[in-house]
Amino acid sequence: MKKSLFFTLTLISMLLSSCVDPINIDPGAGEVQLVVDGTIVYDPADPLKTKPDTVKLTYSVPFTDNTTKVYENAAKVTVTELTTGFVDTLRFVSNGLYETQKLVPFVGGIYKLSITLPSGKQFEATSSIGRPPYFERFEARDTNVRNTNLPNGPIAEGAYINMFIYDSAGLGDSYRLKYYVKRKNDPNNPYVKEKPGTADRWVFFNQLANLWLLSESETVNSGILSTIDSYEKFDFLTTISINQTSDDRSRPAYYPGDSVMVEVQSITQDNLFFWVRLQQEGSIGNGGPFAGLIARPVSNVPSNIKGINTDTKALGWFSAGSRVVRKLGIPETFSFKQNQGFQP
Amino acid sequence: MRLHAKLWLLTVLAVFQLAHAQKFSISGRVKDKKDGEDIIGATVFVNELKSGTSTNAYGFYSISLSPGTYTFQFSCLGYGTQTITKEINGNITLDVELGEDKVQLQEVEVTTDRPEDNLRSTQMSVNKLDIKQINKIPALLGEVDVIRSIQYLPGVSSVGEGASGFNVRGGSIDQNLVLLDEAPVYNSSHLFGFFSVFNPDAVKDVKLYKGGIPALYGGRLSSILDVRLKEGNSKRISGQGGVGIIFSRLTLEGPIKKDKGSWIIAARRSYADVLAKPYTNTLPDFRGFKLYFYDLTFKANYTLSPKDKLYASAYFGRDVFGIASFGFNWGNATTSVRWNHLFNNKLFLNTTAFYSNYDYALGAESESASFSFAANIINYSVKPDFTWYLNDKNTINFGGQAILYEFRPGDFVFRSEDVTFSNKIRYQYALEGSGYVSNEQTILPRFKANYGLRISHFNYFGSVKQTYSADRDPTTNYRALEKEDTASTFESVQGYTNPEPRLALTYELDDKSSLKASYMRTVQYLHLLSNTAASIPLDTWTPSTNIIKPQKADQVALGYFRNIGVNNDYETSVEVYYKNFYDQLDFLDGAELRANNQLQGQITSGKGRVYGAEFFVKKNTGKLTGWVSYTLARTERKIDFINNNNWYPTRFDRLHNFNFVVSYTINSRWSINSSWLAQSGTPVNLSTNRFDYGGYAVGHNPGNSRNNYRIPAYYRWDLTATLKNKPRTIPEVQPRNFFKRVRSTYEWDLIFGFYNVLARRNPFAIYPRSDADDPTKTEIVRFSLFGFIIPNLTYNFKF
Repeated sequence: MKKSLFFTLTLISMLLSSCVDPINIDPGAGEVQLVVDGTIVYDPADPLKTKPDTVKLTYSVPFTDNTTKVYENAAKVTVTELTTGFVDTLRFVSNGLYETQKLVPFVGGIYKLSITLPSGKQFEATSSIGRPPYFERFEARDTNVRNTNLPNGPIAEGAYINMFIYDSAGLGDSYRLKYYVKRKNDPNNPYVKEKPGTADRWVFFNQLANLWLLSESETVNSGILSTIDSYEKFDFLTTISINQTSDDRSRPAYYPGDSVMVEVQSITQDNLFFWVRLQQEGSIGNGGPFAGLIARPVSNVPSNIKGINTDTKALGWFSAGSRVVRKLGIPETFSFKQNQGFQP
Repeated sequence: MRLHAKLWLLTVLAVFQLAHAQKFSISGRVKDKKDGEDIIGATVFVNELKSGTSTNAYGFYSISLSPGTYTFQFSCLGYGTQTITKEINGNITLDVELGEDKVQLQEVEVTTDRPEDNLRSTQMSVNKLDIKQINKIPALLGEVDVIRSIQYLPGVSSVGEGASGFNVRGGSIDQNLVLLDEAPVYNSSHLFGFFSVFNPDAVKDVKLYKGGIPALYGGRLSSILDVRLKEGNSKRISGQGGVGIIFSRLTLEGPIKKDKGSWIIAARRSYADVLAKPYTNTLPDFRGFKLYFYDLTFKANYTLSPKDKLYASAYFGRDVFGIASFGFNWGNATTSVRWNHLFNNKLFLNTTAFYSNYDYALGAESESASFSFAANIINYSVKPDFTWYLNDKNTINFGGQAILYEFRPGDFVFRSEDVTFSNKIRYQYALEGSGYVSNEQTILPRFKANYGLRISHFNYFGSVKQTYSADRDPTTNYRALEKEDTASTFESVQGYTNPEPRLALTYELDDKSSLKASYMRTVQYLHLLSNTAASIPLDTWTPSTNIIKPQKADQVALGYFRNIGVNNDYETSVEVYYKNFYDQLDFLDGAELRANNQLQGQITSGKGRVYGAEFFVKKNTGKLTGWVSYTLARTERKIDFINNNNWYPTRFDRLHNFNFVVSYTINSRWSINSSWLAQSGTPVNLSTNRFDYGGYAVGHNPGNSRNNYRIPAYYRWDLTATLKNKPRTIPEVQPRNFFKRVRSTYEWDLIFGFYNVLARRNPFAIYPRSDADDPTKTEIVRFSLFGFIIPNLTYNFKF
C-alpha cells in the first residue's frame, strides 16, 4: 500500500506540475492591420459631455512581440451623427489617441466613424446608442465563512455583494459590466496582505477571460454571464453576484472599509457578440492546469470596421452605447448580523 | 449509379451460377477444452482438398463436401491441432474441443490463426489482435489496453495522449463503429483516452476493419472495431485480476450448468485520486479533486438446444472528473441479447437486440450560483444476420438492422439565489433501417471475391425542423435561424436512402504471396461535433437532419501480401489507399457546439480526401516476435467558409507514423517487451499576430487559415519486463474444495517497466494565451501530459 501510494503521489505531482509551459516558437507574422478601438458613450450623469469620447488607432504586431507598439498618429478621424448630420472632427492627442471635441451623444443617436489614413485608405463603422441601463440596487450580505482548509478554525466575518439590474423584457438589451474594487489600507485585510499595492486605489477586476456580459438574446448563448429569459413576458430583475474577488469560500469577498464600483454599459447586440468572441479567445488556456485538454482552437474575433476604397481589412470595433456607474462602500460599522441593502 | 448497377448484376449472375452438385454439410462448433469458450476464427482444414474454412464469431463452421472420406484438421492460435478422419455420406455435426498448446504458449508467440490466412482471405485492411498479443505490448502504468494497443497498427493514430478515441485512415473518431458484443459504444475512453472501456480480462477477440468492410457492417465511414467478450468458463469457477498503481480489476467466471452455459463478471475501479487526496488538497487549484472511473462487464450464455444458444451481455461504466467548483462525468451503458439459431447445417442465424446509452453531464458552482448540464444519446436496435453456407465455393451473408435513435442534446439548469432558469434543447429522434446481402465466392482456386450491397435508409423525426438563412451574418459569422417548425415526436422531417456497394478481391500469386483489392462506400447518419483541441467526452452527437446531410465516403485500396520463411515466420504487406469523403462537418469560427438550440447555423460542410500507404512486417515465430509498421498518409478537408475555402489538414493529420512492438522471451519465466512510436506532429490553429483592444491583448490570424501550425513530432519509447510464476502442471482432476482448487491452479505474473523512457515532453497542443497577471501580454504555451519517465508495476493473477 505504501509503495502504491508513493507511486501515485509521484505520478500525480509530476502530472500536475508539468502540464503547461511557455514555449519559444515563431508562428510567423502575417499582414499588419489597422486596429480601431473607439467608443461613443451617453452617460446620464454627464449630459453635457465634459469628458470627451476617444478613438485609438494602432497596428497589429507579431504575436510574440510584447514590447512593440505601433500607433497611427496622422489619420483624419471624424464621427458623424447620422440623424442630425452633425460632424465632429476628432482631435489628435498622442500615441494614436483621438478625442471628440463637440459631440454630445444622445439616446437614439446613430454614429458613423470615418478614418482616412495618410495613404488614402478609408475605413468606416457605424453604431447606435440605446437606452441607458437601469441600475436597481446593491445589496450587501453578511457572511459567516469557515475556512475550508481549517475546519476548526475561526469564522471570518465580512460581506458578499449582489447587485440588481432591471431590464424590460422583449427589447433585446445587451450589457457589458466593468467591475472595480478598492481595498481599505488595513494591514489586517487579507487581500491587502497578499497584494499591498492594491490598497486605496480602484483595481479593475475583469480580465479578458472574465468579462461580464449580459443579454436578453437567445442567439448569442456563449460566454454570457446570465441570459435573461426572453420567454417571460414581463419585466425582469437580474441579480449579479460581484464576489469573484473571493476565489473560494474560505473568506468573504469584502471587509469593512472596502469599496466596489460597477460600470454598466448598455451596448448593441453586435458589440455584445464582439465581446463574447473576445472573451472566448481570452479564455483559451486560462481554465486551470487541464485547460489544454479542452481548449478550443483559436479563431479571429469579428470587426465592424469596413474598408471603403481598399481591400485592406481592419481590426477592432467601434461602439456606441450608454452607461451608468455606481459605487458602494462597506461601512466600517457594518453589523454582519443581518442582510442590509444599500440604495446607491 | 453505373458502378452500382454492375455490382448488382455481378451479384445476381454469381448466385445463378452456383453449383448444385450432390454435397453434404459438416458443421459444428469449435470450443476451448479448458473452459468451453467458443473459439473465433479457428481453422477447419480439409487435407484432401487443401482448403477449408474458419469459425465465425460464435465458433460455428460449416463445410460442403462430396461423399467420401476426409481428414479434418482443427487448429487455432495457442491451441494444439486436432486431426479427425470421417467418412462423409450424409450431413453430420462435428463439435470439437481444442486443448492448449503448452509448448507454444511457453516458448513462442503464435500470432495468426493460420499463417496462410493473411494471404488467402478476401479480407484486407483488417487487423486482428488476440488478447495474448495485447498483453505483450508495454502499456501506460502497466495496464494493457485494447484501444491503445491498436494505435500501434498501420493506419491507426490519435491526436495524442489525452484524446478520446482513435483515428483510422484519416477518419475522425466518430467515424469508427466500436462494437462491444455488437452493441455500439459511443465513447470508448476512460480517463480522457488513457484507457479504454474494455476490460482486457473480459475480452476474447478484437478485430479492426480499416477498409474492405463487409456489407454486414454499416453506419460508420472509416472503421469497425469489433470487440467480443469471453463467454465465461463453462467447466469450473475461475478468476483473474490485477493490482496496479492506478486501478485494480477482478474477473470471475463459471458455469451456469456445466458445458451448457456460463457467466462472467468483470469489474474495475481506479483510485489514484483517493490515494492522492492528502496531496491534492494542499493545492488551491485541486481542492476537491476527483478523477476516477469504474466499469462493470457482464456476460452469460446458455445452450437451449443443439440448435439454439442464447447470449446476454451488459456493460456499465462511468468517469468522474472535477474540482471543488467544477466537474463533469460521462459513461456508457450497453446491453445486448443474442440468439444463435441453426436452421440446418447450412443456415445459421444470429439475432441481436441491443440497447446503448451514452450520457454526459457537467456542473459548476460558485458561492451564489450553480449551473448543470446533461445530455444523452440512446439507441435501441434489432439485427438479424443470416449466414448461408451454400456450397464449398459460396458463403452468403444477408440480414438487416433497425436502429431507433433518441438524442437529448442538453438539459440545463441555472440557479442563483433569486433566479432559477432551466431549458431543454429539443430532443431529436431518428430511425435507421438497413438490409444487406453479400457472397464470399471462390471463383477460381486462386481467385476469391467478396461482393455485396448494403442499402440504408435514415429517417429524421421531430421534434423540430429548422430553416436557416443561406448567407452568414457578417458579425456573428453564423447563419441566422429563419424558421422553426415543431413536429411531433415520430413525424418524418427528412429521409435519406443510400446504397453502399462493397467489393473485395484476392488473387494468390503463389503459395507465399497474394494481391488484394477492395472498394467500399460507407454512409454515416450520425455526427460528432467538436471544437476543442481534441475530441473530449462532452462533444455533441447530432443526427443528419433536413440541413445536415449524411456523411459518405468511398475508399479504394490495393495490397500486396507476402509471407517469408518455411513456417511463414514473417508476414509482410503493403497497402495503398485513397478515400474521398463527402458532406463532412466542421464548425465555423467561434461556434458554440454545446447546449445550443441553433447549432445547425454554426456548422458548415464540405469534402475531404485521404491517401496513404501502409507498410507492415510481422514476425510470428521464435523467441523474438513483434511487428513494425510505417504509414505515410495525408488527411485534408475543404469546407465552405473555412481556410478561405481552400484545402487544409485536419487536426489528426500525421504524415509519418512509424511504430514497432517487439517481445523477447528469455526463458519460461522472463520476457521483455518494448514499443516505439514516432509520429509527425499534428496541426493546430495559432495566432500569428496580436493587437491591443480595451486594455486586452488579442490574438489574430490575418490569413484566416485553419490548422496553420504543426506541433513538434511525437516520440515515445516504452519498455517492460514480465516475470511469471515457475512453470507448474495444473492437475487434470482438481480438488472439489474451492480454496484448494484456487491454490492448485493459481498463476501470477509481475509486470514492471517504464513508460516514456526518453522522458520526452510530447506536446498535446500548442496554443496562445494572455498572461494571467498582465492581460496586455501574450505567450505561446505547450500543453503536454507527460514529460517524464513513468514507472509502472502491476501484479496479475489467475486461478
